[in-house]
Amino acid sequence: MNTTEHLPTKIKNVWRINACISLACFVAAFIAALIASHIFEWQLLSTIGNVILVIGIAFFIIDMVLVDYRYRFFEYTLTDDSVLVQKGFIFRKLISIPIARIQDVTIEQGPVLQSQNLSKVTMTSASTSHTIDGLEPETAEVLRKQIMKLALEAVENDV
Amino acid sequence: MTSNQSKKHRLHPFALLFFLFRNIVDWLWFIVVSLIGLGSQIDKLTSIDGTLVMIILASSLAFLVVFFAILRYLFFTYEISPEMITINKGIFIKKHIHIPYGRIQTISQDQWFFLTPFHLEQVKIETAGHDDSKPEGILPVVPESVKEEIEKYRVQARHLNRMTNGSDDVQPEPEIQTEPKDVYTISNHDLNLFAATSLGILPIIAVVGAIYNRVYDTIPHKYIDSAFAELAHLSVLLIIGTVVFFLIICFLISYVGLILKYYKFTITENENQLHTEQGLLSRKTFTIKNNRVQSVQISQNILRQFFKLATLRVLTASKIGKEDNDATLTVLPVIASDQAAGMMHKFISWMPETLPTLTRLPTRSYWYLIRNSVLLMLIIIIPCIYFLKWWGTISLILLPIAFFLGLYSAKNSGFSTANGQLVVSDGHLFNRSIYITELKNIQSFELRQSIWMTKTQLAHFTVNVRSGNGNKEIELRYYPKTEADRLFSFLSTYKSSRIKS
Repeated sequence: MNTTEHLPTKIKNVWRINACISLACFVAAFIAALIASHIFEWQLLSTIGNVILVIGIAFFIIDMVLVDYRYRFFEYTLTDDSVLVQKGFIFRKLISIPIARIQDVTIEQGPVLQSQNLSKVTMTSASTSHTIDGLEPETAEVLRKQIMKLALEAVENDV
Repeated sequence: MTSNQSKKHRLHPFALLFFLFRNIVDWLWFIVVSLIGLGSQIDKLTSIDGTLVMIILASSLAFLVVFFAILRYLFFTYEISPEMITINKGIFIKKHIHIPYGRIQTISQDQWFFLTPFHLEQVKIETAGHDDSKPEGILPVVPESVKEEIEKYRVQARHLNRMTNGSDDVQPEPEIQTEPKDVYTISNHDLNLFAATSLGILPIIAVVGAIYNRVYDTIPHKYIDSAFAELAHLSVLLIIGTVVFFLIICFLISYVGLILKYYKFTITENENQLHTEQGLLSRKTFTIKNNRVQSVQISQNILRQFFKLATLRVLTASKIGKEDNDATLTVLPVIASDQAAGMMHKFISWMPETLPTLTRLPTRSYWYLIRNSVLLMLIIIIPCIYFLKWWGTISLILLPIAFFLGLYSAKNSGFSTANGQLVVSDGHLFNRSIYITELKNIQSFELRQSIWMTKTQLAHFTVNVRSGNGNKEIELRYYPKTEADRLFSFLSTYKSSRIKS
């Protein structure tokens, strides 16, 4: 039961699609600023627009380049007591969420995730929430059931 | 159960003034913007006299404000029935808030001195949910008897609950303890010391500085510049005198503010509830269930450390204490630091009577905290020098301050896992906080390391605790990886029983 899992490879598509959508938003904002600067004859708006476009392109490039890196360095493990999430290589993080602290597990599928047939799993404690970006729907459901089962056992062990 | 026990009440008529005041405050920016903006536009566009328009605009706005305040008052009703409290409010969007007594976690009362002769106060009720940023039930102006009634029904509901759920409760027999076992009231001397050692003067200077900036922008510069020219002609002594006078005023504002806020501060513990009272002009009361306390914080600024005084606060899963900075509720404004833990133990039983010795940050890590502090300060210094040239070099005085800030953080960092509790000491901006947390209240924890820290074998550790409606991160930075790993596995292998906050 203590196996360390990676995300399914399809998650890379999700990340890439998200990066494209973000870029589209930045481009839209750029175009809007450009049009507005013509209508209102305001030079400042077009400079702002240029800045927005540059930032958008920079984010896009960074996001795309990091997709493989993110995939390689994300792992999660379900133990008897906790969910462990390990991410990053340059900036490494190991997060432990004790099962007894998990208040609920939510499974969501936005349009991008639906297109790849993946689900996002969010575990919420009383003050923090932790997400696994995308899992196969069956895996997500199994994970959720396992967590809730272990959580209920923790209650029964109550003194 | 006679039907007249649960009838709908309106608020006391004074609530009209309350709603009026709230409306004005809420709509203030709109009123100002429309008066200034619209008024001047209409003047330009039409031939109607500008002042007439302003008068019409102002009076119609005033009418609207009063009208809606009256509507809000008329549409606000509340009901205290034996099963629950019901609040009905809203003019267009009607809200019906039902609060069963069992769900109530925290009650606070707020009584301004001008309402005391009328025996009126504001009651705020909060439950276990964490949706809104405000307590669920707010009764703005109600008689004091309302709180008594609520308490009466709450106790009844608790007894009913105990009877139906069997006697697996560890609580004492169901009687209202008329003599709470421990009461602490702050002495005037202690209050004085507390108000005098607060470093609250600094935010006040910042506020006054901000106000000055606002004023500077609106008044034509020539007036201010000529005033400064005048000042420059005065002797240096007089200038220093003015600055000192200004600082004294700021200090007095901070001092008086604290005295008014914590006047006759009292804390008691009763039926697993903590009960605090404070204030002179506005008497505030908080009642909170013991199990809502997530962590105890012993806080000292550098001045109070010198005088060996400490302030005790609790992090709660409650929004009500939010008026005391960042969701902490002050439970003991000031106490001798060596008595802090012992005194707190009387009110919160899991608190240790003495603090364990802490594992400290190794000296080789001091450098990193100092370096980070200095680097951050450079973000302020470099633009200052670049934009203000010669005057900017005054900002270089921030460098040694940054050094000492980093050193202070390093010296006051530490942790302990004795007694199955986590104790973390954290030094930040010349203020030291020691957090004592039961392991069952740690929501999640993290171990972080950058790739450069793998070579130095150091790591950061973060512990997450519920505070107010959000999260408080308690951090330990630049600790040896072995220590961090040990702490990680200690927190992981602890078999906790699941108790929701």
